[in-house]
Amino acid sequence: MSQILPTNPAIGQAVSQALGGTGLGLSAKAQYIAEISRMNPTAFVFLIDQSGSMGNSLQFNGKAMTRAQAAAIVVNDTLMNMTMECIKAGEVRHYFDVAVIGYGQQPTAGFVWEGQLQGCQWVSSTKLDQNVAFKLTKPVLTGRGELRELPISAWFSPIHAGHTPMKSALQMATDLLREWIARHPGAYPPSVINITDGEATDATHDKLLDAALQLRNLHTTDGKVLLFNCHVSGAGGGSIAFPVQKQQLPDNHYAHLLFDMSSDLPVQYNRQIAEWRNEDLQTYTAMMFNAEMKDLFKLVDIGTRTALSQAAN
Amino acid sequence: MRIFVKGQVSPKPHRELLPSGRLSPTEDVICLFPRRAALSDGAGGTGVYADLWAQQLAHTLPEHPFTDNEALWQYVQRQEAPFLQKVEPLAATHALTNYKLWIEGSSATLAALWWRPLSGRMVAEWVSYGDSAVMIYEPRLHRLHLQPYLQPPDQFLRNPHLLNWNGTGLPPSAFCRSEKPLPLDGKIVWLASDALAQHLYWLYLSTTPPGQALLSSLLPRYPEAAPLVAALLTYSKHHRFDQHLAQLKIALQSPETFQRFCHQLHQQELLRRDDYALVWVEQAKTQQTKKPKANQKAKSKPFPHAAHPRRVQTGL
Repeated sequence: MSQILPTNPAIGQAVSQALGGTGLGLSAKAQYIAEISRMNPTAFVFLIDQSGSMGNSLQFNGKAMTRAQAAAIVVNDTLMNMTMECIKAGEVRHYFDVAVIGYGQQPTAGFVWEGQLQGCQWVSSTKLDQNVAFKLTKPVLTGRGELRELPISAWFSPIHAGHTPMKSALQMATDLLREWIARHPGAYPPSVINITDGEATDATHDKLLDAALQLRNLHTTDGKVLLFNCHVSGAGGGSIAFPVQKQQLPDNHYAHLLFDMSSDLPVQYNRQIAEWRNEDLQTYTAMMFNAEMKDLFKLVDIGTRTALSQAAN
Repeated sequence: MRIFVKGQVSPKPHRELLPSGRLSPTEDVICLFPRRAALSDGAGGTGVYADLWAQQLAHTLPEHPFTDNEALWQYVQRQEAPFLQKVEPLAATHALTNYKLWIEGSSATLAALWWRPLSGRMVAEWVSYGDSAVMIYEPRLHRLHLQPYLQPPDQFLRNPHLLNWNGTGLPPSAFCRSEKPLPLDGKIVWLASDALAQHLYWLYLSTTPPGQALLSSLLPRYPEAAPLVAALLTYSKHHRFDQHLAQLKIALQSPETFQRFCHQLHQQELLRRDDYALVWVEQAKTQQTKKPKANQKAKSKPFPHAAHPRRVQTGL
C-alpha cells in the first residue's frame, strides 16, 4: 500500500494504527484475519476432563445427568454445528481439523474418538461428516419453533473415572499443534478449549501454567494459539464468564491460575462478547469459572463460531 | 422517456472447488423485468441452498412494491412451498444438510425497484431488506443516498438481517422502502449486493473529510477493515468518484467486463472478496435536438462533475 491519507493526520494515524496495531487486543499487525479455506483450514482441539468427579450430577436442559454426560453433549453438538458451518452447496468442505482429547480415565491423556475414527488424531470436517459414531433421532426445534424429528450425530461417549492429568492433556495438545502449524504456517490460529471441573492432579500450579504458556506461545503468521479454559460446576450461582481483570474473580488460587493460563482474546472475539453482554468493547480473558452448562455452550460457541466466520464463502 | 437499465453478476474471485469438483455457486442473483428489477444476495453463512433461495425471491418479484414489512413477510411465506419442492429432495440425500435445512432454513437479502411514468416524469419506488443496497446518486450535487438501514457504515461489517422462509417473521428494522415515488431525472439508482455497495459507499465517504473521519472511527472495533479503508482513501486521492462510476457503467456492458472490473478492484484491495451484483437504472438522456455550431465541439459529459463535495449526506 502506498501513501495513506490525505487531509487529516489524525485519520492517517487511526488507519496506520489499525494496520500496525495497538490496544484492544491488537498486536503488532492486524491478526486473526486469515481466510479459512480448503487450502488453508484452521484447527480446534478440545480437552475434556474425564476424571471421577465428572460423575457428579447436575441439571442440564431440564434433565438430571452427570457432568461428563453434559460435557459430551456440548462437545458433540458443537462438532455437529462446526461441521454444519462447512456445508456449502450441499457438500462439507475441509475448513478445519479437530482433535478431541480426554484426560482422567488413564494416567495420561488420550484421544476419545469412537467408531470408524477410533485411533485417529486429527479429523477433518469432511471426515467428521462421513464417520459418525452414533446416529440418533430426536425431536429438535426448527427455525420457526416447531418440533421435528431429525438425526443427531455424536462421535464419542461420556466417561468419568480416575484423576485429572490436565498437564498431560496440555502437553499433548502442544505437540499436536506444533506439528500441525508446521504444515499450516499461514493458517487462522488454532483454538484449544479445555473443559474441566477440578484441579490438575499431575502438576503443580507453576508447572501447569508453564504448560499452558507453551501452548499459547505457538503461533501461525496470523496470530497465536488461543486457549479457552472453562471450569464447570453446574452448582449454580457465582459463575464468572470472560473476565477482564483478575480482581473480578473470587479469592481462589485455582480461579486465578485459570485466568493466567487463558488467552487474552483478540478484538474479533471481544466484539462478540461485548454484543452478547451489551457493553462497551474490552479485552476479555478466554475463561469461565464455576460455569453452568449453558455458559459452557456460550464459550464453545464464541470460540468456534468466531473462528469459522473467517471461512471462505 | 427512456430508461437505461443494465445489470450484471460476477462470481467472487478465486472461487473454491467443491469436493465434487464443481465450482462453488454464485449466490447473488439479479432479475430484470420490463418495469421492475430485483437483486437478491443469498447468505451462504446461514442455512443452506442460499443461491436457490435468492433465485426464488428475485424471479418471483411481484409487479407492485411491498407496502410494508408484513406484506414482504407474506410474500416470503408464499415462496416456501415452491422452494421446498425443489430443495427437499436434494437435502434428503445428506443427513447434516437436511438437519441444517430445518434448523437454519435458507437466507437472502433483497433490493428491488419498480418504475413507471407519472405526470410526464419517470418515477421509481423501491424496497429493501437487509444489506442489499438501494443507492441513489445525484451526480450534479455529488450526493449519495442509501436506505436508512445501511447508513451506519459499520452495518457492512455486521451480520445483516435476512429473509428466511424458516423464520417466525421479519424484524421490521431491516425493512426499508421509498416514502413516495422518486422522480428519476438527474439521478442514478443502483441496486447493489453488499460488497459492491460497501465499496461505492465507502469510496464516496472517502472523498470528504467528515466521511474519512467516519471510516477511520470504525477501525478500533473492526481492525480487519483497515486494509480496505486505507486502499479507498489512497484511491480517492487520485481518482474522481464520477470517473470511477463512468468506468463502472462501461464495465456493465458484458458479464466478462463486469467480472474483470470487480476482480481488478479486489486485487487492488478496494473491494472485499464476495460475489458481486449491480443493477444500474437511469433515465436515458434525451437526444440533443439543437445542432452544435460549426466552430463549437460537442461536449460529452455523461457524469457532470460536481463542485468539490461539501459534506457527507446519506439521508433519503
